Amino acid sequence: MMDDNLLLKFALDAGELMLASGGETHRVQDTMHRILSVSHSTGVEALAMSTFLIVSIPSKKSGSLTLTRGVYNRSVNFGKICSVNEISRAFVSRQITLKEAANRLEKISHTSAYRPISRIISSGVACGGFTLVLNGKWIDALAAFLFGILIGILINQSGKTKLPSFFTCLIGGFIAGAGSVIFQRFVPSAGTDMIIIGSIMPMLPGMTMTNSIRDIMEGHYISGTSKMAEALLIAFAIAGGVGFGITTMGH
Amino acid sequence: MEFLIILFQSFMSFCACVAFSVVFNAPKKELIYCGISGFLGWFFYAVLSLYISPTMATLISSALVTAFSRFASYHRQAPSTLYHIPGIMPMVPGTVVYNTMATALGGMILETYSNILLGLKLAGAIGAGSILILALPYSFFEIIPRRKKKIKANP
Repeated sequence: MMDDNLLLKFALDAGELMLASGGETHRVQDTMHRILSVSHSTGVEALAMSTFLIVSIPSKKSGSLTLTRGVYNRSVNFGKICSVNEISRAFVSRQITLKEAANRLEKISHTSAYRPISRIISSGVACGGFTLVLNGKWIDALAAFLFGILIGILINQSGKTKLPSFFTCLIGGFIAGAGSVIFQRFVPSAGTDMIIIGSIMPMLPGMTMTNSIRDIMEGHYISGTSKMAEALLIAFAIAGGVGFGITTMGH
Repeated sequence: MEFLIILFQSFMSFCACVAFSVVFNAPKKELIYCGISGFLGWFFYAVLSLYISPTMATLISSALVTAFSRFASYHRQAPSTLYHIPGIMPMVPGTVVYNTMATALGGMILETYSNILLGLKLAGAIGAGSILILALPYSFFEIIPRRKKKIKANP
């Protein structure tokens, strides 16, 4: 017989990790529900919203058990979403025990697949690459690569210091805007617009926007609309940062 | 010539999407599929926008990328988001966000509004294209049978 308390805690941990890594609300809710349905009680309930989770098991022995948890710090992490998915699948199909699953979950919440330096450099490569994709010149791509590295450092640091994403995007936009104007002063053949567009690409709320639409699609109207508000806020933060950067550098 | 440029841009999109996935900690063994998704996203968009309006091109190519990501999700047994997000990344209207800001700074109110509307239209097109495919049932993507995987021993 499985311990309902441990099961609830495991479901909540898995859900929290997924939601904090940028998983869609309906996926989180689905995962938690699957985990809870391993328990033999009928009428288990799992509820996920964009900032909190509720899980509950009605059991005859010890009365109904309900746990809630708020999730506020969010950063995109595909690796954790995949690992949680894997663990919960393995657990639901009884390949591993509850204790093992909880241990593995504990482990992945502290590991990262890449060193910070490789993430910072690939942020630069992404910015430079998107500049070339959108018809930029090679010199623009070089500049975007440099600012991309700066923005990568910023994203890395903000993950540690738990800076709100609004400020991260504001500062990132400022780096792109001010940097491109300064760069153009030294290299007149470079175009500021292509550099800026390339540099802000990794910060754009593409993921939040698609997730919100997927959530609305699945019937999670509250989470979907609140995520859409978040996406708009981030887009305005980036635009505001870029504008501030350009005007202060006197373009 | 035009086709060569599109191929080059799509290849750059491949590299950029792989790098983008590294920034967001995608698992190492899935990186190549994230890149292919990005390649297809830009390739379809660029080819289609030669013939039809950018909004329609965005809609159709985001639908195609979503279909790819759901196929990949079934075959690789990973969440489809992992392949979906890099795929639509090249189509996200970054240019429009920049133009909105630039026109707002220049005090051009009408252009600012039209850019905001254009941005919402393109974002909506991405969403609508994704929904077209996401609404299909999961079994639809099981036509091509999955290769048998060895069952891993517990580490």
